Amino acid sequence: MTNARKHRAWSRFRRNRSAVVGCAFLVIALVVAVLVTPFTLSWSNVQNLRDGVRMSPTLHNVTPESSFDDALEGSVAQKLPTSIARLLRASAGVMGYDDLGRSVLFRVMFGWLVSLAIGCGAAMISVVLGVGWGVVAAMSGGRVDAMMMRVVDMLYGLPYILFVILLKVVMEDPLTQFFGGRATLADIVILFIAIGSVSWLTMARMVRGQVLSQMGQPFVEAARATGAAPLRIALRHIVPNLVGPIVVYATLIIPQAILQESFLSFLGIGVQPPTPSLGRLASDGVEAINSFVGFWWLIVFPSGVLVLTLLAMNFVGDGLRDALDPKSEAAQLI
Amino acid sequence: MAAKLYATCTALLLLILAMLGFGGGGGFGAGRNRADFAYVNQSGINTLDPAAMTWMQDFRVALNIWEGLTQYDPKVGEAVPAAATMPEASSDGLVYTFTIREDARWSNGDPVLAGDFVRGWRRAIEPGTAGDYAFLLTEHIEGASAYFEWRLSAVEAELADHAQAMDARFAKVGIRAVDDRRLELRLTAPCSYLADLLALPVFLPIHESIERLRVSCSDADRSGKIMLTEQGLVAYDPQWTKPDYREKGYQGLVTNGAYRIEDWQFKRRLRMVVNPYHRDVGRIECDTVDMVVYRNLNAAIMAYEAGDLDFLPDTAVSYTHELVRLGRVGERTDFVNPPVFGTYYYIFNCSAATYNDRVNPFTDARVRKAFALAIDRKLLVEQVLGRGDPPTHCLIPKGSIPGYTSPEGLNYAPDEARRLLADAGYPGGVGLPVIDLLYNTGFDHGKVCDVLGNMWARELGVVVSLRGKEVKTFAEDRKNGNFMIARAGWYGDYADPTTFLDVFAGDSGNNGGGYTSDAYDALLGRARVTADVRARFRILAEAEAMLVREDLPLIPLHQYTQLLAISPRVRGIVANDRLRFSFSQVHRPSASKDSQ
Repeated sequence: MTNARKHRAWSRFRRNRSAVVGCAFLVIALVVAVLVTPFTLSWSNVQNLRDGVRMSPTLHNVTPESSFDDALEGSVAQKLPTSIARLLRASAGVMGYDDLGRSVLFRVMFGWLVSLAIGCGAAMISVVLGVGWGVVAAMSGGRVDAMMMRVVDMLYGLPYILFVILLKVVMEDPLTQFFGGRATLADIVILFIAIGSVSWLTMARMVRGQVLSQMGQPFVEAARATGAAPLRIALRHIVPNLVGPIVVYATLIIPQAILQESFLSFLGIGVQPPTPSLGRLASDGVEAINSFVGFWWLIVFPSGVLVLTLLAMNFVGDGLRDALDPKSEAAQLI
Repeated sequence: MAAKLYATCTALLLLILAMLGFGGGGGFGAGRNRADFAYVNQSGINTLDPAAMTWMQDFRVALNIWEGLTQYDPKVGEAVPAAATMPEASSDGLVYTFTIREDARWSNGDPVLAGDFVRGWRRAIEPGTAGDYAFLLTEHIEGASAYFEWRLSAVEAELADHAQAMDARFAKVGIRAVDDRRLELRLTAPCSYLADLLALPVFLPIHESIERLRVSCSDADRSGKIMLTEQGLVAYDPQWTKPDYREKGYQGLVTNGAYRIEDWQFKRRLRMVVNPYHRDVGRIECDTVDMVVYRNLNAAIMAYEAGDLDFLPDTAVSYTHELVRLGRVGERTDFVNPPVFGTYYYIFNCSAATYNDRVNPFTDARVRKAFALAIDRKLLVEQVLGRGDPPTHCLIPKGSIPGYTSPEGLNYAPDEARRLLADAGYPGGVGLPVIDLLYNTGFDHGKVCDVLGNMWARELGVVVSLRGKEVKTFAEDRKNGNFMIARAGWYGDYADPTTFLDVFAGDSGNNGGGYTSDAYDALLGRARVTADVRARFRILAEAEAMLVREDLPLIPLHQYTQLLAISPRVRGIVANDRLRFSFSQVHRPSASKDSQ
């Protein structure tokens, strides 16, 4: 992509208001969440059984400061400015407290990051696998191409949830052992491998189609005429031209993966407690919908954040697609 | 425009209603099909074979459609004579002779015979048909254990000869039909809780028609039929418990209780109707009883609120504590929360040296004790659960067995816990591997596990990892000792400490933690041969003290309570600590068919 094209794409993206708002939301949320992670990592699991259980949203923090301080022992958070800690502690109650007196705010913040990590991890896997598979298939052509694409068709036919569960069952124990018994890490890794390994299929098909259409272009023929090796043609000439569609598609995979993670956690096969994720938080809160008591904050905040995140990502994805689409480029030139 | 919108909305609404109607068809008690009394169950019936059943919901149905020699009466709170009159006992307390009531009838009108009981009990100790409760017979009835062992050896025996010898061998078991109506029972040792035992499903009679469905194999040499499988086991067509099974002249399940099964829709609904030949038929007000299956108890509670259900024996949802509170303050008198005959606890893996390549520190009793001492039960039970379950430090619910006093267990003592952990070589938790906590997902189990993990991390400095599994894999893992610490619970079956203490016996099939102690088994053995009730209880209390004060294969947390929702439309469901309910006692004050 030339600089001028990049510039035009960026200006188109900027004009798409919903995409810009979505992007801003994601960036700000990400910065905040990452900044406070050293705290939320341990504070999301600080219980206050004495007076915090199922306490509704409040501007006062009810958990003793000493519990928060104890939880930070030996963590990098101790080296961070105390003003952040103070601000966070003071706002611990704004989203209420859950069944075990844990701050919903901290759980949502950390859970959001866990969900996002799984989403991005899955998207990365799916990009690497999907692009690699698609490019190799298209460039090899003939039997190899047919065989590779039949594999994709076959995987499409597999019931996806079953596949994920199977992967989880097979990989759970070895991976947990690999992480020295820390099941949480193993869970997160399994989840993004599992989700990533089922969401690369569409990517592979799309990339293969794009590569095939590029192969007939004069610049590829020119490269071939100069005696460039297939690998060089793929990496130097074809893939760079596909960046647009790949980026767009990847941004759409992330929300899809987050949603799938939520779904799996909702079914109880996602991350293990006490590690929060948006799906698990929502699933823990779902029985708040009953005709006797309303612990509405247990369901409203996690699901609200989930909805906002998914919306923002879809807006950004849409905006990127419009911005990078060569057709809209053409339309503008006319 | 508005009209179009309205039309669209109506169409959508109709569509949704239609879908709901299809989705719930048959499963719901409303409409013309509603039974006089409908109660809910979270899962379907597992089995209706009295010899094989172990689940509470199966017991509940079985004890309403069959009737044993005795029956647990929720109103009285103990077992009372049912199909038989009070037995004559010999002076040494070993031989009992029961007389079957003259008016005891099967649901097809046949009289109940002593032989029907012999048939039922024999099935309960036949290796092919016996279940988890067979030990109640082999332990208490003379010769039953020997018969069971001999039958197990059938595999090596010549089948035809073996089949011939069976009746002669069984004659040595202490179960005998003296004549049609008199049944003689010989015990291995006097048993003060015999009436309570006999009220369990494993002691129910079986109607003779089941014999039509007996599986047989042919003996090539003698060209005869042997009523055994090729493995030498007694087996029946498993469909025999179905009410509408017609095969080889079988007329469907025949039972002798107040009800019989009319219709059984697998995992959806079980309909019971009154047994017209039962002696109490005139006094029974609910002619039809439905057990409706709702996987989601939250939905069941909504159906109850809407009047579709009369009774919820199980209300384990995340807001149960709120229902308990409503019941307690008198806002909802239909919510009652009796303490029941069961204990919620965690067990340690006491035997495996390693777990997933990590050293299992819980083979050391000091470590187990340290973990037990670090639990603040009061906080857990009052703040987190809030259902009013009494915290407990011992295994047997306090005051549940008349005459028996449980020993004092270990209280919350974090300093002592840390000291013990240091003694065991792990000062401040240093050196301990990541501790795996296994629990089954659902209800409050995850919450409890989370709280325990947090307490251990805080008090002992250990790193914990929670592993929530679906109940079937969980049960498998626990049974196979594939855990470090696991959730557990036990409901007692009869009013004797051994119903709890036997779980931790070295040879118990329910002892998932692999705890073995010769001293403990010796105490149980001594109690078995002690006739004097008070001396026996003293020995058993000593055994319990060993569990909860010294060896700690378990950490008792709380006695169970069970929140029941009993609709004000019905009377006669009596809250009791065994959770046994007699539907024949239910009556409806506004019986004028108001639901029609």
